[in-house]
Amino acid sequence: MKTALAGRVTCAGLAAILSVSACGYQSPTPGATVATPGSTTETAATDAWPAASELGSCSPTLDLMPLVSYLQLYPTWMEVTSLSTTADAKSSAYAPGVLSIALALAGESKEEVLMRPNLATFAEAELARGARVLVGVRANSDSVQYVGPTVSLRPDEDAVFIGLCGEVGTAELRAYVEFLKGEGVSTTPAKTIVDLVTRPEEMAKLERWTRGTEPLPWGDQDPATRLLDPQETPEDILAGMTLVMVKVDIPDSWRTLPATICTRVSLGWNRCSSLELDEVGIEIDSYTTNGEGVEVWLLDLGANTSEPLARLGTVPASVLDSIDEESRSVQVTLTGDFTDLPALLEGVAADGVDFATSEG
Amino acid sequence: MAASAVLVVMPLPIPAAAFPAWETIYTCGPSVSYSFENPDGLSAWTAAEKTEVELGAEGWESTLDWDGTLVATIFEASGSEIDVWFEEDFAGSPTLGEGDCNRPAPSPNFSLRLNPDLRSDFPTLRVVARHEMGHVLGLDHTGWYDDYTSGSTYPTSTRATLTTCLAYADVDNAIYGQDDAAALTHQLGGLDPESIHPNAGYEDWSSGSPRYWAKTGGVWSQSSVGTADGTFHLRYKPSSSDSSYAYQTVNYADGTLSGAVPIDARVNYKKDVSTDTGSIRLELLVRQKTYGTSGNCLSQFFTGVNQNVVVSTGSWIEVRDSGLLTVSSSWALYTTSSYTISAAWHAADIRVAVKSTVRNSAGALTYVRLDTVRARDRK
Repeated sequence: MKTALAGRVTCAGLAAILSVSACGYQSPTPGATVATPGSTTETAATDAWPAASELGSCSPTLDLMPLVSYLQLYPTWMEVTSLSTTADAKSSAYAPGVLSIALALAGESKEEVLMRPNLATFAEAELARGARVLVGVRANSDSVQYVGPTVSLRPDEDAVFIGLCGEVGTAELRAYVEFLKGEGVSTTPAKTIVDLVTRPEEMAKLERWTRGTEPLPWGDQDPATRLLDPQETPEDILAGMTLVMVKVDIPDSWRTLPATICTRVSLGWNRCSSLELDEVGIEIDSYTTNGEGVEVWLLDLGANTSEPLARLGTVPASVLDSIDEESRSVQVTLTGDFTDLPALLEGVAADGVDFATSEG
Repeated sequence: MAASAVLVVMPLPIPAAAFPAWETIYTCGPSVSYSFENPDGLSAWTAAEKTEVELGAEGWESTLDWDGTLVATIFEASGSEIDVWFEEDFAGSPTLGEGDCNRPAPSPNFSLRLNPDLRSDFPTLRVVARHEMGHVLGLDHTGWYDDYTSGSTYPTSTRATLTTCLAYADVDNAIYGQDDAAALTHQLGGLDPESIHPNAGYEDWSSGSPRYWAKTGGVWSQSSVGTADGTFHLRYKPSSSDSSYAYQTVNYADGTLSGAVPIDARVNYKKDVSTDTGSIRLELLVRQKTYGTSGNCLSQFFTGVNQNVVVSTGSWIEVRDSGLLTVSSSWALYTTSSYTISAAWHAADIRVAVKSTVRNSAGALTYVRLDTVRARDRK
């Protein structure tokens, strides 16, 4: 539904939007010179600008879509040049009570679109202070073009979302700008939002940032830190390995050590065991490969594989090759005392580890 | 060298932050009635819109408790507890919806509100309705593993619908994730202490195997003969001694670590045939998960970290082990001692695993019967 233009905002406000001299602007007409997203703006100093929370408060109980999804919902982006109140607002089948319209311009064309009254009130105030206002527009199920995201681009290059939960979008945009700056990009919130709605590659970049860093496929992970685990390691990899139980005896003095004992092979880390388990026996399921020994390591309490504390020794391949096929276990005895640990941490390994095959 | 000297070389723990308990217990409880309303005077609900909301909201009923009972019952009824409507104020905003059942004054009515912009967006409408009903049932947002991000490399079986950030990104996922089920069982399961594993009683075999369970080898089947709890139990036969096992992994998200909550694990077990001999072994394992600090998905429970960036996971640590438990012809119950997960961890994965060396009279590995295998939250 299109509505009639019934008025306009103050000259001062329009002058700021369109970068023309004060009061030199008349009601928009087809073909009028317009401002486009991304152009620079000269503005007049005004009173203190409202905080983002004042323009777009949000209850923490509301579920929100991320900024990138919100922006992408709206295929058309325009810059507001005037605001009017429709004479027949209640004729909207979309939502009774929408009272205001925005006359928005996209490129050289202009359109009248519906804007909710609460948005219009704040948008008009921002315009009056010398900000520019961008709006995202889409058609609803009744084919009514209406405004969703409404962003005030302020003279200081900040950008503030207007409307319900706008403060969340503002915060997310600012966080993204900080990320971009960290990447060496010279930008501002105002420039960034314009880039996002006018350049698909910038939107794709925001989407990647939103998703965060997804874990690499197991095959691409660093073997120095990745895990051998039935839930994450490809079946064909584990099928080519032999599962051996590495039984570990530790000195009594090690039981209170804030650490875990783990095993690994060149393909990755096996399980770890809490040292508390010594009473029932530390037995570590260990995937092994033919011709390769199994290393026994000391890790911290979180079993952080990126910072292993010390390699305690290696069960030689020759020992693994000779173990009983039925029990598939090997006994490891750590004969070193707790006091040896500093030496182990300096890289002296294997000295305190004795091995013996076990019949299970 | 004394122990204190060793501590010097340990990585510094992640600074602990104050975070609330995992879930807020809402008042709606496990039985929720709802009705379609239109207080904002928008165009009337269409039959198609109602169907989408019904599919999403009532889908929670498919989540089974430890003993096979429904965790939640959700039905449409007049004079209901929950008013479902399209909230005109949400239109044009990034708000997808809101679900609660302890809405404070001046609008004390329980509600499930949806953005009217979703009216013609049926897959999304269904997923949002499902998510909001999850809130009505008392579930809160968690993190990465609960994310149905399109194209994610995480297995969908470990992801759920309740996430801080991107729950709605992949609206084609109409299933309920394992962690959804675990959270709901934990929240409403009626057990004290609460189970943190779904389908702990092996009641749900709708997929042809015990739902949410996995095995590294061997074979298994469902049995209803002389079950310890509920209607069914598991018969499991490993492929070789100690080299295969049945297990289940869940994400123990964020806030559950509040106050360094202790957990334990338990198992019911018995022989398959009276002449069988041998033992089983119950293992409880944990794995540390550490979030990064960049990105936009800030954790609800741990200040300053981003749930969309998992910078590392520790290796699996076996923290409790039953040792060998000799099986008999009657059900026996074993419970481990409790283990306290570090409150400094951003999150943790928890796994229970059962191994068996039970053999038949011919000396071959054979089935053992297992029931109600789960880890429990001792808070």
